[in-house]
Amino acid sequence: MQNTTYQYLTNTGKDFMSVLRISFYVFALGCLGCAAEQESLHEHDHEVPPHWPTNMLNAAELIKERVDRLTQGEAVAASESQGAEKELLDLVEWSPEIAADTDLSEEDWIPIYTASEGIRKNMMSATGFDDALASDLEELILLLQNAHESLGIETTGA
Amino acid sequence: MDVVLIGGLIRAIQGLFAAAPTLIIGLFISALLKYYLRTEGTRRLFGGESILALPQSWAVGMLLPVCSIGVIPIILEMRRQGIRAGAITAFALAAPLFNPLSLLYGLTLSRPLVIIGFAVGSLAIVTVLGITWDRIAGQAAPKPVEDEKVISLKRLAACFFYMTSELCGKTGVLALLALSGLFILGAVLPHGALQSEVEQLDALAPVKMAIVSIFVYATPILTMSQLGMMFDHGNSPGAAFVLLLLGTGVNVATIWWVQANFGLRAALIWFVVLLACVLGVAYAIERPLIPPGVEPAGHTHAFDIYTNPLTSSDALSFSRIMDLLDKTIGIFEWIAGYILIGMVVVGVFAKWVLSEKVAKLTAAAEDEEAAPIPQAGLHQHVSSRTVGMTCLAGLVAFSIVGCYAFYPAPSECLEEMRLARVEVLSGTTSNDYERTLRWIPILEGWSRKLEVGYAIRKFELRPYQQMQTFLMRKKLELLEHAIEHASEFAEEAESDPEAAEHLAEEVAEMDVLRMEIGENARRVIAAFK
Repeated sequence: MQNTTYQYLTNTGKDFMSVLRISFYVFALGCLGCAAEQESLHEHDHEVPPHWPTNMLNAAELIKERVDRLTQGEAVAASESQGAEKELLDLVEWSPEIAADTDLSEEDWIPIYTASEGIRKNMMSATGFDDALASDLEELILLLQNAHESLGIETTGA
Repeated sequence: MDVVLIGGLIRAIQGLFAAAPTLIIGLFISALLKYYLRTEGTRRLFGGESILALPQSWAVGMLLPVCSIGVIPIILEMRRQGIRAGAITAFALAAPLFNPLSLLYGLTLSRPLVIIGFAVGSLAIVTVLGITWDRIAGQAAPKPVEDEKVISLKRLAACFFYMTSELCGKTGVLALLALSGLFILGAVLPHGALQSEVEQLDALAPVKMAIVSIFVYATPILTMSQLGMMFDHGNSPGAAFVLLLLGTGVNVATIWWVQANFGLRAALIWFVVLLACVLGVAYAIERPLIPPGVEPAGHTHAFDIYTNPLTSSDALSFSRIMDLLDKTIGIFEWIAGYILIGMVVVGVFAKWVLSEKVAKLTAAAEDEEAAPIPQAGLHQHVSSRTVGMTCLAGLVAFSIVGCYAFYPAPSECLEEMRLARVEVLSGTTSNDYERTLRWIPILEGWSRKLEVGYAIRKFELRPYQQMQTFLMRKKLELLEHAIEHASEFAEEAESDPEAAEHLAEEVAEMDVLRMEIGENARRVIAAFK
């Protein structure tokens, strides 16, 4: 048993060194020069999107802006419409986070979360901006405004 | 060159201690298979020749708390016992992916259904791989080796010396081979090299992850925390799946063992099919699993643990190396590591110094069935298979019960978080940034334990609770970045007015974050009470 283990160790050891050597060279060739050492931490700053809301009231205002832009219909260029829809989806998805980062109670937060989730799912599956979606968004806007007012925060808005 | 080699060595040592607990468990399980379940029991455990062998092996793997290094002694014993190649593959891939601890951790991530989907996906892949390999490779199972039947205390001694002997033999060699992958990554990949390589909708992200994952060794818990970080940062879900299957499920030793036992052709088929299945699923799930509401951060720190921990400007010293090791190796891992070292010492003596005495001590004295024991009342004959299965069931039960120890009650978690938060905030206030940076990951870790600890006791985890802990981790990461930026600017501030201005901005941001973290703490406590 000892001889078998010794042979296994010797053989595996030789093979292991070959594998290690080859792997090292291949990997080094593939990675050195491609993967540079991170020189500054600023390379990976968390960039804040320009349409990130400052508070719930601001979120409501930004959502309303996009809704108005989308309900203009033919007056808006297709690319602008797509951009507005993407930003609208972002704002809807961010609303629960913005609301949770306040002293809003869980009880008052849940309706915002539920409305946001419902709208998000609709927007992901819907083919266009319809009246039902507009109505849901109006409801979310109202919830955000009421929640902001309930906290008694000074309204600075955007 | 020093930085390269020592960086690689640090990563390998970290991997060794991380593997220690489950390697000991894996050795114990292999001893149970050898001396208690034996050939027939092992075959039945892994489904024998039936059609259920693959899913059964997958299910057994999912329950046992082992990693891709801990699984090595088990598959060595399975091969010795003549288990089918497909079943060995199914077990070898599934066992490291999930265990009760890591599964619970994963279920608290932002989208628990994703983790369940990953688990089901792994079943599909091991089934396809097992069937394909059995058919195309066409390897017949080797004739099982029938060991002598050892009973009573001799059997316990035989188990112990078998474990130590294996550690100093094939298992130990293969474990070192697995850790060499971490050495290679740590040596070759510069500090922070993988931070931007797995972005959402990057067509090459799953492929890049596949290349790196071959060399990766990761415990199931580490992988779950990395998956959590990837989802929080909006990184590629496909790359996350690749990391789980290839990074956690497979390592250099597994691939090597397949080649050594089944030949180069079979191993290539095995590997190509595995890679094709994993990448196929990864690309299929990339878009559907993009987490909603998460703005892609453009980077992740999840894989810093695989790159060189040292930078070219780092001064090498023993204290610096010990500090790096201390940051990543927990108390349980230190203890398990020392136990492992003790077992190696015993194994060396048992194998090469006292081999004859050990052989005599553990030799079979008489046949188990030759001397029937009179049975009356509670004095009944209990087969070795029953004892073995009871031990395995006990191991599974222990790992489930262990969850309650590993994930303490919310009150305990909140208290630990309070202590960690004090360190973070006071470190920031007193400009002791080293302390702050040390305690931030600890606080983040406790926030995850809080979620799991709450969920396994209350059987619920509300969206509001998850949102508050998410906000806490987000603010901690922003604080971490602000401190790191401030440290960079502080070096130049005296001579550069612009740097001084940036430094003032970072300090102001730190003050704001300090306040926000304090406010968030109130909400977290209220949410989890």
